[in-house]
Amino acid sequence: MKRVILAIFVFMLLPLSSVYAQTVPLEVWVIAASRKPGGRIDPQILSLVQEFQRDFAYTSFELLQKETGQVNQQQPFRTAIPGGGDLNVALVGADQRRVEIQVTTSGVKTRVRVHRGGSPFVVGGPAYRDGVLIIAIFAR
Amino acid sequence: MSSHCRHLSSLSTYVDGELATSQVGWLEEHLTGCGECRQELQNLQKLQGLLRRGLQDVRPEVPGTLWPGVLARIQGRRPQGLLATWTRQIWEAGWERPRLSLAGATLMTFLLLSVVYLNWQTPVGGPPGQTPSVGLRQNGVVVEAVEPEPGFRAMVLTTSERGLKVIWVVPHGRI
Repeated sequence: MKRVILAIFVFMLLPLSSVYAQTVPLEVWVIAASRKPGGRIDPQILSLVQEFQRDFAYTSFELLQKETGQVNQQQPFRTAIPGGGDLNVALVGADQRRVEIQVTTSGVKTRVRVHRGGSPFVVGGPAYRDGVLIIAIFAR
Repeated sequence: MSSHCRHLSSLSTYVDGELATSQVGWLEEHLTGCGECRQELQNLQKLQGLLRRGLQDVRPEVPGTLWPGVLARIQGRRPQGLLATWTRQIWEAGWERPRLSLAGATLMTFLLLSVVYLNWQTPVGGPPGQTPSVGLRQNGVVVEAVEPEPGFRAMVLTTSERGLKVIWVVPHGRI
């Protein structure tokens, strides 16, 4: 009887360990960027949007949505984004340092490799009000 | 019991010097004529000598500072911590139940191997031998594939300061 219980315990732990090994925490920022005169920049995203200010000539950046979640090979991360679109992040593979994800949002499907805790992957361009949306995805 | 046995039983008392004076003369007279009793007397005397020497040897010189030192250690002894107690109990239980210990070790090994195997099973990146994409930074992003939906165009841009990878999506009509 003890052996049976031990065997059941082992097989219960195996899927738990596999899910843990392959689960990647994500953080998603959805930013509205526009060229409104006298625009303001949300202080929470200052370090990130300075890049876009320089290269894309937007003046106003507002953090619309900040979400945390996790993704594994059994379950993608899904969220609705402002303006009626969706963001879907599916895990392709992961190891201790890097994560390969497939990102699908309005207008594009892409597959990228990002470093855990490193630079975010950014998708921009979907129209939103008088500007565009910029979506930054961080793998933790 | 024979009369000879009575002499043998008196010998031990004689050797200890506790035999009554009235019997000492009688025993000594007997000893002159009895070889067996003389032999037994010699054995008893040897044994007594050994015991005396032994008792003297086990009385070592104890320095006067020993006991105060022992007492100080007992009084200053800290109670064992909870973690140390648990560790000791688990360790002792492990030795008492070897099968359970073996099962635990097997389980831990199995879990460790499963985690290692699963990490190896889904490697990140291209096929073996393929070099990483040009422009990969230490903690940067590598774009493997971009598929714009019909009616859209997608560009892969890199920001000038930190080299962030940006996929910029625009409808066909807007370019």
